[in-house]
Amino acid sequence: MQLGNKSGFTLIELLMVTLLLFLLAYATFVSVRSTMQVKRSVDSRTEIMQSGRSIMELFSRDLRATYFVDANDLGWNPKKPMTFEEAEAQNTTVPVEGEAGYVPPPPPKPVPITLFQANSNELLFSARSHQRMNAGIPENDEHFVRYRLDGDKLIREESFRAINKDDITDDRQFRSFTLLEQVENIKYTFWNDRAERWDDTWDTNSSDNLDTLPDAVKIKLKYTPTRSEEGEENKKVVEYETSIRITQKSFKKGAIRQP
Amino acid sequence: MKNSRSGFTLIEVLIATSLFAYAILAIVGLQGSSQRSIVQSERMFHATLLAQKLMTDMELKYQKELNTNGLENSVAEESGQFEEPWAQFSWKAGLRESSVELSPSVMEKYMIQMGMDPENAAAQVEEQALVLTNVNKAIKENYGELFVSVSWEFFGAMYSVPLLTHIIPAKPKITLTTTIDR
Repeated sequence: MQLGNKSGFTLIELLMVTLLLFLLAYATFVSVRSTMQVKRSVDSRTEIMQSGRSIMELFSRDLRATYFVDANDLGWNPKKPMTFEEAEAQNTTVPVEGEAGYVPPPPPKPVPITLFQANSNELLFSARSHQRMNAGIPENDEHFVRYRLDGDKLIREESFRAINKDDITDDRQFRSFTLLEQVENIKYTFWNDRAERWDDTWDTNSSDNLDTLPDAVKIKLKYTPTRSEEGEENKKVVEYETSIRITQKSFKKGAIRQP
Repeated sequence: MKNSRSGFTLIEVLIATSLFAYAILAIVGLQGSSQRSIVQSERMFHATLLAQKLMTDMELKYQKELNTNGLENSVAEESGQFEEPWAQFSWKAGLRESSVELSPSVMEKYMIQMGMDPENAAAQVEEQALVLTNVNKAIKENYGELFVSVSWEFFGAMYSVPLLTHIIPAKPKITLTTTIDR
C-alpha cells in the first residue's frame, strides 16, 4: 500500500516533459543556426564592402596624384620663323638661310617622361608619390602606376621610380599586386574638357590628345564575389560607379595647340 | 490535501511564457538589426561613391557656366533619380551664393593671434573696414557654393550623404566700392 502511494511520474508526464525539452532544444538549435548564418552573411558582406571601399579609395588617391608636364613646361620655347602672311603684311619676303633675320626650324620637341595613357580597361600614368605605397620601396618623387586586367583579376602595378623612359617598359621596375578577383568588367572614361565629352581613350603623346590630362575619370567596376546567403554560397553581382576629378593641370595648358 | 498539491498558477505560466518569448524575440531582433546595419552601411558606401560622381559632373558643368555667365546667373538647383542599379537613390544638386563672410571680430582675432596688440588690432580693423567690405563683396560676387546630396529611404527614415565645395570663376569679377555700408 505504502509503495503504491509513493508514485513517480506517469508515462504521459514523462513523454510530455521529453517533448517539451525536445521542442526547447530544437528552438535553441534553430536560433543558434540562424545566428551563425547571419554572422557568416554579415561577415562576407562586410568583407566585400571593405575591399570595394579600399579599391575605390586607392583609385582616387592615385588619380588625384597624377602628374604631367608638357614640353613647354620644360622650357621648350623656340623662336618661330616668320610666316608668309607676316612677311606679306610687312611687305618683305621670308628670310632664307644666310639672310639676316633667318630663323632655323625649331629643334625636335622634347618628350617628357610623364604621361597618361589609358583606354577603357587599362590605365597607365605618372604620379607623384611622396608616400610609400608598397612595403620596402624607398620613398620617391614620381612613379608610374598601372591598373590592368589579367583575366578576371584587377591588378595594380607601381614602379619604383620614374626617372627614365625605359622605366615604363621595364617589368623589373614594377611591383604588382592583385586588388580584386572575379572581375566581370571595368570601364574607364575620360572627360575631354575641350571637346566637352567623355572619351574612351587618352594618350598624352598622341596628336589629338592635347598635352593635357583629362579633367575627370569615370570608373565603372562590376564583379561577382562569392557571398554567403542563408547558409548558401552565392555569386553576387556588385557594381561600383564613381568619377574622380583631376585638378592638376599642365600649367601652360592650351599654350601649344590652340584650335 | 488534494488542493495543496498545486501546479503552477495561470499568472506564473503567463510570466514564464512571456519571458521566454521576450528572450527569443531579442535574439531574432538582434539578427535583424545586424543585417539591417550592414545593408545600411552598404547603401551609405554606394551613396558616397554616387555623390562623388555627381559632384564631379556638377563641378565640370557649373565651372563652365560660372566662367561664362558669372555667379549671379549660374545659381540653380536641380534634382533627380539615379538609373538602375541605383534607382533607390535620389539626388539634389546645385549652385548657390556662398554664405562665407569675414567679420571684423574674426579679423581682429586673427590679428591678435598674429602677434598684434589687442588695442592696436581693434584700431587697425576699424581702419581697414573698407578693405573688409570689398573682400566680402568679392566673396559674395564670386564664391559659388556647390552642393550635392544623395538620399535614400531605409525602413521609413530618410538618409543622405551631402557634399559641399566652393568654386570661383576663371576670371573673378571684382568691383571695388569706396563707401562703407554699416
